[in-house]
Amino acid sequence: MFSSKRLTLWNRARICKAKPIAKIYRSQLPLLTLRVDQAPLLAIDLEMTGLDAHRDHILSIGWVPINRGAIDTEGAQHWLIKTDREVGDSATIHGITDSQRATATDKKQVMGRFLNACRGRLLLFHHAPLDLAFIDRSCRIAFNSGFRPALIDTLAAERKRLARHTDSIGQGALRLAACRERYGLPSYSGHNALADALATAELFLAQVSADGDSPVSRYLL
Amino acid sequence: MSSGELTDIQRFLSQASPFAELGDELLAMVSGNLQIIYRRRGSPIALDQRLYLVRSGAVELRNQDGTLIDQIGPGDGFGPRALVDHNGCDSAQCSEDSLLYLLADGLFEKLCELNKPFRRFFTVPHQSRIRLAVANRGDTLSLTAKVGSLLQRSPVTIDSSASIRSAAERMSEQRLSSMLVCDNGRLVGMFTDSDLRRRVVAAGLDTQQPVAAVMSPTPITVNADSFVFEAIVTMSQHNIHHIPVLDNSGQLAGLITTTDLIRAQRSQPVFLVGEVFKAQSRDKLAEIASAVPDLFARLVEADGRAGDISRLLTVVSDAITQRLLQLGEQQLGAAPVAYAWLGFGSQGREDQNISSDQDNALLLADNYCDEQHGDYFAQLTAFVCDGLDSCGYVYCPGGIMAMNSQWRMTASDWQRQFRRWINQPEPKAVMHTSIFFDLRVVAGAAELAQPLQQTILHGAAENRIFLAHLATNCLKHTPPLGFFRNLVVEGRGEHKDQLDLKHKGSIAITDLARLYALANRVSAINTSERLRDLADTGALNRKDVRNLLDANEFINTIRLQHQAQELARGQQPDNYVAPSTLSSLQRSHLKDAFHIIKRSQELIARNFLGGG
Repeated sequence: MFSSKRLTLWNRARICKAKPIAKIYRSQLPLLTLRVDQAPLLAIDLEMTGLDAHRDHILSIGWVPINRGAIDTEGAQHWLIKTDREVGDSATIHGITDSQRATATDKKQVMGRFLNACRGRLLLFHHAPLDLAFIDRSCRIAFNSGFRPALIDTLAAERKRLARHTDSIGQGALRLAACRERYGLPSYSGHNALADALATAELFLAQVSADGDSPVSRYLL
Repeated sequence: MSSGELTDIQRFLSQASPFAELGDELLAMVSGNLQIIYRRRGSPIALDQRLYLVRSGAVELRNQDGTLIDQIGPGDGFGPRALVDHNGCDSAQCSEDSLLYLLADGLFEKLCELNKPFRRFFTVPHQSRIRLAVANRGDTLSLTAKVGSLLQRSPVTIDSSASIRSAAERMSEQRLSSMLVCDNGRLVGMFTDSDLRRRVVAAGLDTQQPVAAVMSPTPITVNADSFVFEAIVTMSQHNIHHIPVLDNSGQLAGLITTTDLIRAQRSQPVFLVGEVFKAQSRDKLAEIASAVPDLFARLVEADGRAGDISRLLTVVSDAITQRLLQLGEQQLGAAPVAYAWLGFGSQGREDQNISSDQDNALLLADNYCDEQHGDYFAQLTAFVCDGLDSCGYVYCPGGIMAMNSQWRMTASDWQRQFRRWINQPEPKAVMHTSIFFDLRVVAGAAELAQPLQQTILHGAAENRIFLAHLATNCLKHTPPLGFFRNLVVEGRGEHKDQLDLKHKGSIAITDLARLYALANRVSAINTSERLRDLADTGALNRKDVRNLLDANEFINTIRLQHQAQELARGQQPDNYVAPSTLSSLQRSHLKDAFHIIKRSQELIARNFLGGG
């Protein structure tokens, strides 16, 4: 099973024409055989104006690295991204106002830094498909290449774990806050990309605390 | 670019002592230099040279031989002994699934270097830390001003052998309405304008006569260490406008007048006591007393020291008792035999708070005769106890009140009663009778109670069995420090998850002070005075006494603040505080205070029970 994942990634690295992205794929190859508590990871969260990667925009992105089973806040970063569109209604959800956007950074610049941060790490999301769709879209525009790195999804991992214990998973049981509560993790403010990335990283540490010596491939999406 | 914005972490740090003291800039630095790990229950934590902080969960700390030193929870830090004197341990293990923050290598040292409170937190042991907490509170409360602080100029005095004429001359020269008569620094009398009018001019006396012939001898005095408040009470009580002030050695220190007092004390409590002595009915007294909760709230708000606030409240309740007795005697006629009104428990110890009930009794002169005088005193005491109840000092649930005939005894009967308590102690009775040993004469003929006080002072110290029972009783209230997260809250009932600060805290110290005072013939009744006297006589180690005084002050401060908050919310004040309503710093000071009590109780076991 895990050799096939490795092969896929190796193939993607060969095919990919965008250098920064290919570099990420290659850097991830040796990570796939590590123990889950030893793998370097980058926990990521995005805030968007909506759910449609083709119509909506990324407002902000936050990330924080995990090294040998410990979150390093020194590597934590939080970026507001410039958009042409007005923030509108989503401002009430994300707490980012149009005036704050004045301090935002150009999207291409942020994406460059983001891809740098990804190198040598497996990516970690809570509900990866949504965030990944937006990053993928951005990469297609900027580098003319999709973005499909090796990644772990704490939501998928939790669904798998719950499915082993219960017949049906209740509504809302897989939300980040609900998952954290099951592990006795403290409540957090939420709705800030960095806070959510950190909350995701902590959830992951709790999830793997029971089986740190299993291979990381067990958790790959 | 912004790598900061770890707002959740910063918010958490800002509520965790000692990080709370760091300020925003350093907090941002700390939050950006952490490692965060998650460990399951039962996992050992490898200690290197870094400081850990518990974000959620709980951790057990052990020393070299595996003894559990502490169990800590969210907001608490720990590290290896080599790094931190306090909270240092040799091994640590999660007792719950825990999220832990680790300070980056070298960050702890850097913070110690940059921030003094932070350094002090980890290098100064409990006792000193709590002392700093108590001492850092300024004594801004003018109500707690001492009489000595009002003295401005050295007193103008005259020898008792000087002539009346020369005294009058000096008085007009200095524009004084009174003059103190002193021989060799000792106050022997006072000579006022009115004495001059009544005893000299109106009587046509020769002004060459010595002042000694017309002065008022042995005037009522006040000690320079007394509260201004107490001076006012004394002056109102005796309806005098001048009062000489003596220092601790009994030498004259000065004179204060009503004008001095009004100038110094414009705040309401002064008038409150003034009003008490002016009140002409019990209803009026109750109306005046209804302002007491308000007074209490303001004293707490002004950050008055707990010990001072309790003393002030006692001054008020004493005044109300005294006035009730005056009113009662006005109504029923003067008392047929001399008596002393005894206050027990918190009133005896001058340690009242806003929810204190009444504990009192009557001691009658031995010429008391039940058939002849019984009715009178039954009426007088009922008048006073009912009045106290309507003033907010509710009836004692145990019935220890002068209005119950059981607690109206002659001096000799009281002697017999106390001898019985001391010489034939029963474990259960000791618990119920211990408050009687905090006895103070609140009103009436204080000298009547003196032989009784002597009996208590000498009888108790000589009876090892009585002391052993008292010691056992002391150990009933153990401080709420347990294995789980240090502060042990009530497990069930109305006060689930709260701390009983009275029974688990203040009473433990009160009991301890009483025990040692009785064992060492210390006559003081007030807990702080008892402890100080015990240090002076060498019965207790001075350092232990300071620690106990600090612990007492801190616990009572939290207690009084809690009661003031309940009053503000319109609730009945109690002594139960939920740790979650305290700041992290307050919680850690409270733990320190309980540690101090716990250690003192171990000492009691060794000293009185032969245990170890």
